[in-house]
Amino acid sequence: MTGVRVRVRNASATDFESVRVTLPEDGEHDLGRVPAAGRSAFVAATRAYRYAGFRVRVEGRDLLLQPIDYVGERPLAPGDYDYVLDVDDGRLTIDLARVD
Amino acid sequence: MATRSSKSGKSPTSTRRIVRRKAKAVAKPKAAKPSFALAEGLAAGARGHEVVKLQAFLKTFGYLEPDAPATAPFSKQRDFGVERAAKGVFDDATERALTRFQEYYGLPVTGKLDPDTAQLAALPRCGNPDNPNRHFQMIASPGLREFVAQGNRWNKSNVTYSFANFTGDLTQQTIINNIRQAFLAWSRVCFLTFTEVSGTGDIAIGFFTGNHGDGSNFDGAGNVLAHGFYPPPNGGAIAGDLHFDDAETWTTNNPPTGTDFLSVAIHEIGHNLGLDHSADGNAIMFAFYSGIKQVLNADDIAGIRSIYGNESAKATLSDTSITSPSFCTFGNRGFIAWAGRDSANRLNVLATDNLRVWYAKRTLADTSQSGPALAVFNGRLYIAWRGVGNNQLNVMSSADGVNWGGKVTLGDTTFHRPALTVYNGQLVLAWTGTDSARRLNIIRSRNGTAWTGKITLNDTSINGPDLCALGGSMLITWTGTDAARRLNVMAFNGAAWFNKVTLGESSIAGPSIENVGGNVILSWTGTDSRNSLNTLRSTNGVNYFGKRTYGDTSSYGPTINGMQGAPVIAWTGKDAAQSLNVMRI
Repeated sequence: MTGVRVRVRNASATDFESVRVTLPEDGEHDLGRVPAAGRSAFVAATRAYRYAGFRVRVEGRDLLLQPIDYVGERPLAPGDYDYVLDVDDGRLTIDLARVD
Repeated sequence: MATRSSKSGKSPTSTRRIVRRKAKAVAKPKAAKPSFALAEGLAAGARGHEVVKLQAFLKTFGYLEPDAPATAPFSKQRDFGVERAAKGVFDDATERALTRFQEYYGLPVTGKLDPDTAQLAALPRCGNPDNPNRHFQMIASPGLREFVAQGNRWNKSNVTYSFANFTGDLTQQTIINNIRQAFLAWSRVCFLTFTEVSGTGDIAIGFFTGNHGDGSNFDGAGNVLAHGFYPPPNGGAIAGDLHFDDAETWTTNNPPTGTDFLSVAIHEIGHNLGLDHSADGNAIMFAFYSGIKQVLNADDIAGIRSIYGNESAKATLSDTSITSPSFCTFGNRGFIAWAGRDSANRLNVLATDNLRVWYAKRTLADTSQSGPALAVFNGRLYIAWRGVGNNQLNVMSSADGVNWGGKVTLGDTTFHRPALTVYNGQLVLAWTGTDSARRLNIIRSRNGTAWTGKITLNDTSINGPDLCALGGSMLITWTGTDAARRLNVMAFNGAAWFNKVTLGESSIAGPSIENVGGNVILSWTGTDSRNSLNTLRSTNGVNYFGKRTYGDTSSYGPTINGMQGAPVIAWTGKDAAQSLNVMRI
């Protein structure tokens, strides 16, 4: 495996009507609809970190994860990763899991 | 300019040091010091109780996913890269975790529980987890990081900052004020103070878009908002710099109609000071922007104090002086003035709102080999000094502490720092004459430019005197020319001198006196072997009590004044650079 691929896993009990991810060097990707407990397709990333920017539409509302910066963050090693998004008290939370 | 090679060229040894520092940067509960006796020789494929013990060790210290989920806010992020292993089975995840432990501690990377690894695991240690993910990512991906995280710190207590440019979103003054506020947020809780400079400061602040030459391009509106480089050594001159993405819409209103400038500035300055992202979602140093967040939380404070220690009442500035400084409050601002250590000994003035963040430094064309004096009169800040060469007294003033003019040179001369105060609606200047006896003199002015009514006293001094008003009187203090160099104070009622007091205290230089809220504070540099700073108090100018001797020392006389109701003492330190110091007492 030579590159990094990322996708979104919906860890919430609610469908994500749309998911957009913004990666540091690749701009915004529309990952489309991600149902509850579902996963999006993978996106190849020139560079990715343990988090990214997200705009997720849930029950008609846009929820944002807006990184301030990536200062001090290490780029992910080559491999496939899930950004595991959940909704907690109306806010998006993020986890990262390596896909074996 | 940071280079990619410089950012990636870290040795495992340096990385271990980094990670350990970082672990200290976030407050964590104290834990017992566990140790693990592990069976040597375990390797891939092994099963059983000894593998369970190995996995327990790796879970405890952050190399394998723990059994119980973490409960701290946003703690999920800390779990990234930590895999779950099959219990009791030395599987691939266990091998990778053990490999990372070996890498982290600089052991031979065997992926097995070899004797070196077992011996290290058996040592008692702190119960806090390591931070193996960072190390693992660096080892696994020799690709580059955006910024170097060495756990760097500024190796001085006063850090300078400057503005490279501004954004059109906000007025320059709004940006300047918010940046001062952002520095103050950190300065209030740690030892550091900050000085705004007009040249290139340690932290150069600017607004940029796209590729702006530092290898970390901005990405247009949204996503990355800014980046702050860690302190040096880190990529050369760019170390410590702070860049805002000018594609964002920066605002300071509430609720914000754009990106809140102050919130992001405080976060980035945290990086500039050596802090990394925090996993605490309520911390300023959390990686995500969520609107206005302008107050450091406990995690931020613990982090910055782990690097720089607790806050201090004393501010040691980057600026240095050849002799005594002067300090004065003008409006709500404090101003310190001093003769610099440049070849010409030019006079300088620097402002502060809080003794923590300093700005508006002005280096004047005028020079002096003695300290200047400051006073506020008729809504203007006045400075008096002894000229170089002719030793003549000079006075000029400023409406803002920045732009100075109206210089008047008197025919009188001194070898020492003069004194200024306001008494009976007049500006009063005092000095020690250059006559053979070194007699004290005063002169008065109703407008700050025309000086009349010179009085020469019979009292003599080894150095410059100081003045303050107290009720209907004016006090003058000086160090006598007696063998013991004892301190003296005397009152003046506009017509006569009275109540001369010769104290039992002695000084190597001129003392300073000020009325701070009805309390007269007398300060001086002692004749003890260390030349300690001292203060005495008085309510009537005659009886002095409450002597305090400070740990700080000086080879010159201090200056005392009040700011925001509290006495402030300023002095030139005995360090090699002769740094200026200011302390609320």
